Amino acid sequence: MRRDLSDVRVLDFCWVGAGSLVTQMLALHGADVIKIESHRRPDNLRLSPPSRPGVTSLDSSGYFASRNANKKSFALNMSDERSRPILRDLLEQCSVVTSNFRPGVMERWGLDYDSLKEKRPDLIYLSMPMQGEEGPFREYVGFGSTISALAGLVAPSGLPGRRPVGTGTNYPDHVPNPGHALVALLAAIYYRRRTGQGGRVELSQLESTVNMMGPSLLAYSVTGEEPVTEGNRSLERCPQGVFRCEGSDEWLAISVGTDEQWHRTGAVLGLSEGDVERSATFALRRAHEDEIETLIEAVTKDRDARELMAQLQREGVPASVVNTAADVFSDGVIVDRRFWRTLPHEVLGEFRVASPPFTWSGGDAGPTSSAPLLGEHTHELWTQLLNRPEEQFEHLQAEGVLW
Amino acid sequence: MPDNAGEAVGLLSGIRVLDLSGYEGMYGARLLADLGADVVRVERDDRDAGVAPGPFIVNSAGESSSAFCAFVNLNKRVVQVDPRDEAQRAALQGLVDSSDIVLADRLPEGLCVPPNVVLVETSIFGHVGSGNDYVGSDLVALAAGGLLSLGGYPDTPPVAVYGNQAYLCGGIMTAVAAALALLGRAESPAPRADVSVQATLVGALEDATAEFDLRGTVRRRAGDQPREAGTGIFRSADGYIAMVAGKLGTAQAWLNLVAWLQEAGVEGANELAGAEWTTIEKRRDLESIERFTVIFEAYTTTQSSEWLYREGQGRSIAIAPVNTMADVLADPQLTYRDFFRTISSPDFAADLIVPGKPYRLFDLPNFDSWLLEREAKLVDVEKEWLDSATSELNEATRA
Repeated sequence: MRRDLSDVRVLDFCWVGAGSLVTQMLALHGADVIKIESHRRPDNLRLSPPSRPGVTSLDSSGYFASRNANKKSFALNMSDERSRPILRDLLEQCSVVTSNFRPGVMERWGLDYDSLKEKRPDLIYLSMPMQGEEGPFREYVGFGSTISALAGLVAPSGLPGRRPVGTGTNYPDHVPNPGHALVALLAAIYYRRRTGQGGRVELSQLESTVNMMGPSLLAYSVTGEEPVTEGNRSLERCPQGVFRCEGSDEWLAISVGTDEQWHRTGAVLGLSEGDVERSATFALRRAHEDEIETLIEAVTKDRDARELMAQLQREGVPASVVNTAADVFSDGVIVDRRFWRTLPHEVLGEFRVASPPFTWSGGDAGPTSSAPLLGEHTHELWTQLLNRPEEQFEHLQAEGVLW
Repeated sequence: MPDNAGEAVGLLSGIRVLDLSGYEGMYGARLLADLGADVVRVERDDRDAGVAPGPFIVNSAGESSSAFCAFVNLNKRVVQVDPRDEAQRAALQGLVDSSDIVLADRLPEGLCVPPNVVLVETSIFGHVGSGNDYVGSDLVALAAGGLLSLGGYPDTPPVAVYGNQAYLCGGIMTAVAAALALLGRAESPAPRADVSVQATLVGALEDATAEFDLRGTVRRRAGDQPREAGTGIFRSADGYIAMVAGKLGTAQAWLNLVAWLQEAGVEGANELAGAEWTTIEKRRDLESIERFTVIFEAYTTTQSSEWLYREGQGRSIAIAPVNTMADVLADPQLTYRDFFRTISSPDFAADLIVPGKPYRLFDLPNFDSWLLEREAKLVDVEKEWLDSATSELNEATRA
């Protein structure tokens, strides 16, 4: 296992989507991540489907399990005053604090950056508010899908004349926002190693997501033209589309970037020389795009998507089957990369957890322990990290403080 | 006032990055440049990378160029290299030797990265595994990574998200890997990463992979058919709004929504107040979804997106307008936060506008430069990097 962050212990208040992926990446690289949770107000994700049929509890969410691997869970009822000194002691053992609560929540607990930094100038603090910590909309609530809409990503995503659809997911939660937060956070950790200086990283989920429309925004500022909805077509590659293949709901994406690739596509699909030559240049192909797409689909509809992908790839033509959420478990390339790791989970049984999207030479960063049950590590951390007495643990648990 | 240059020191000042990446990695080098790293992008004329991604902009001289490249190459210097020329090849090797981090789609043949230099290779399918020889593009990555299967409408082929999102996501993960490698660099040899854009997107399939793993059901594109009553994209008087008042939202949001519709006297609102509507089973039922949309849109189509946004948020409901670029630029919150940056360039009649950084730093050096890519000469950069003291880290790892 990679140990690049073995000197980092994280007091983790992140919940739901984006924040949890930030701290999971840290945990997969050796950081000791302590997730502060409570039965009183559990992470929404613990209440979210899917779970195994017939099983519903705070420990049965596969969604939660997919983004909290390799972390520890400490159950603490933050609404009880007696939680404060416990939290202070935990904080002393940690050098990074992460949160994606709404502005004001950490302040109420005296855990905001300004309250902590004087005593701990080396502390690194990540907050991930929806729209930033100040401003007229700082209290506004949101999710990945609403942030995508606000950022301008949804409007041009769809087919002309139809309701825009975006990605069909809470997209910013899964790569853009955790990713941007990680880049800044890791750079801050690197800087602290060199200088001893800590600081605060704020990731406004809206501002991070607007960067995913950066090229379009830049273009708009020059041309005054809004992005044009063209479905799967592109301004620089042609033909580019998703074509029906043999079977039910089977599709192949083909994306021709050069004239050479077009000729090879024609050869693989058995298009007539006349049809290929008539569209020998990009400009000609764009002019005949409808016609070309019809010609291609007339061939693909009776062909096996995976075989055709292999043939096109052998000829250097960018192509891929449209994998479903089931296919990505058996896709040959993904399997070769050992992307999925099957881990035992007390409630879910065997469950497959994703590795980071990169492999390392020397060392592995795949998940090694499944997401914690709520409060699974409270006792361990109480006795081993905080060195507190056993009797007190039982008492505070009975009183609903360590809960 | 254009923002071309502000604070000159960043978290990664002193780090040298050589950017040989393809479209799927270029944004990663930009993210490192934003943190103060000295990033030199190498344009090689020996490969056919096809036409650069759009959208396109035209400068004062009437020349068209890629806004994608302009955005992902901010704060970089760019050198042209012909690797067929022996002297240039040697100079390029010199740059590699004095880098801290080399980013590439695939390391060009003949170049050798010393063991103390971080190497991150980013490609659509990754070089580790049977996709090593595969070629791809943004759309191909979305297809292979599964995200495409969730986009679009049930009655049409899957439809890709706009804006080369796969390329940008690949870039983000490139920067994450590079930063992790920098932290792991005390080891010898330095860590090397192989980033797959396909795998990056598999990680973006939300609950769909867990749903298959645990229940064997395959989530598919839902398009304009929301997955749950209370969540989805709805029409307004002047466009669309997005809303989440379903399972992932709070239970209170649904109650607030129903109360709002009742207050407004919307026909059918009382029906939604029934206790059965608070259960996920009821709200995920196809008939319920359709019924909710009819009731809700009868109201929302009489109001503007902007009004629905403020009114709904005032009731703690996660609503947002489906914004255009013009709307984004005029957004009151982003304006209040002074988010956008303007760049003056002699090549363009007006200032260019770009989003500010995706994060903000406090009590940390906050490199604040906004420069379009600057052309540099290979020999000059080589001389500069060889002559000046190597970065602190290079010094330490070479000692």
